Amino acid sequence: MTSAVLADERVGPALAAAVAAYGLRGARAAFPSEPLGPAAWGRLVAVARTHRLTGLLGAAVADGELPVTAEQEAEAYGAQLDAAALCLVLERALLRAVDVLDLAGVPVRVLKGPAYAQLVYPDPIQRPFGDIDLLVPAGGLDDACRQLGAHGYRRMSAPRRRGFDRRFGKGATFIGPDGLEVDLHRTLSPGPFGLQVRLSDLWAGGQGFTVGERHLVALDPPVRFLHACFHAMLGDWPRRWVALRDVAQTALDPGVDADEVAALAEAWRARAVVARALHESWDALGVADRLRLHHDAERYRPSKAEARYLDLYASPARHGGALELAALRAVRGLPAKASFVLAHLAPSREFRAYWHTTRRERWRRSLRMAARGARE
Amino acid sequence: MAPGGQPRVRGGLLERRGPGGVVVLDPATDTEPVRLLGTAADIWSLLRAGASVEQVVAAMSLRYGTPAVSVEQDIRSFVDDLAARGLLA
Repeated sequence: MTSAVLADERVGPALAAAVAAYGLRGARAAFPSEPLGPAAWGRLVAVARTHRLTGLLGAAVADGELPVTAEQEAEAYGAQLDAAALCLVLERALLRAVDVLDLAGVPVRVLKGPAYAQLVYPDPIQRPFGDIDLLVPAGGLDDACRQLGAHGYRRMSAPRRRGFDRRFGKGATFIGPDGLEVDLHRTLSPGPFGLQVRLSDLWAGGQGFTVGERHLVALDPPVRFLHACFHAMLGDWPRRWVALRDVAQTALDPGVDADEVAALAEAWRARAVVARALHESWDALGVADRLRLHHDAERYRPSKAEARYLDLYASPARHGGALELAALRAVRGLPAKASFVLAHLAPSREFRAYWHTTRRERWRRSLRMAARGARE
Repeated sequence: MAPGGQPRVRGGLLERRGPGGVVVLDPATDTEPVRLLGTAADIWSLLRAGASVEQVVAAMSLRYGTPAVSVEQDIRSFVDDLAARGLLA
């Protein structure tokens, strides 16, 4: 596999892949026939925690597929419950944030972990998560930010300029009164691919689920699959195993219609994202079965620009302004392009205060971020 | 839970169940999740299925081959503890 998901793995790609693919239809990865030694086991548990695989690790142990000692079994179950306990605390934070947004009449779609756990995985304990992500309408983003601010949520950084978030931004990150992170999203990723998403599609349909006794709504299955592709390919770098598993898990959802996915991907100019996500996920997880979704993905040849954009998201340069530069090409219309450029050349005082005050310091910060990205 | 009343698992709790146990959280409070391991998880499962304390005692006694009188006090204390944490109505 070419993905950097394994770059810092010392556990052995086959074993990490076997855990990441555990329970997936058509997965071929095999576990060892004997318990691992202490060092290899310790590394496996560490990888499982980092890559949010503790739920699947516990399931593989409980089903007797991964042989373990009694001590290892207890550790696997302990790690699974640790992650589960955090999920409950985050679900409480989710309910509270949704309540606050309800007060302002801001509609919400629950994204990623909490929705995948309840709707996509066979058992919620198999899909741990580490934060809360909520989609709000672009037109409601400012209201949502104000409402959260009025209820003790602290925004991590100021908007670049007034109106920038709702027109061009991915969203805004808040820290709640409980110290937990709540991400508000307007679209599904930063940069050019996020700007090309047709936002009205995100609000079509929706799939309901319950947390506690609260009814919540997640994205419609085809849109949810596309979001999993976006997150896996355009999100964290190096990639997380769980993000690749999410691609496969959401793809296998019976509610995902291949024609509908193809039409949405075409409209969002995101066929390259879907093609690469399917290819990398199936390759990394060692899944043999091909789906109808693969027909379009395997035929698709990304343009040079698409390939360059995809590489950009997976490069340290994404932190140095290159993603914004690429995003400019996706902004439609001269007035909008001018606003976008102005927001980058002359950001608000509050934004500058957060990102340091002088141009020199901003450059130095960008360089530090790029260097950190390179190290990671 | 009312004294002498039938314990019922409260509605609206957040819960995850795994092979190593159960974690439960009341989202209306600021408390930490409660971890229930081993026999505690077994008792919780029985209560969640609607068993009375007497039925829990009988089931646990049978499961572990222990006379009911020797487990009853521990089970009642545990049920009281769950009620004090607000997990039972």
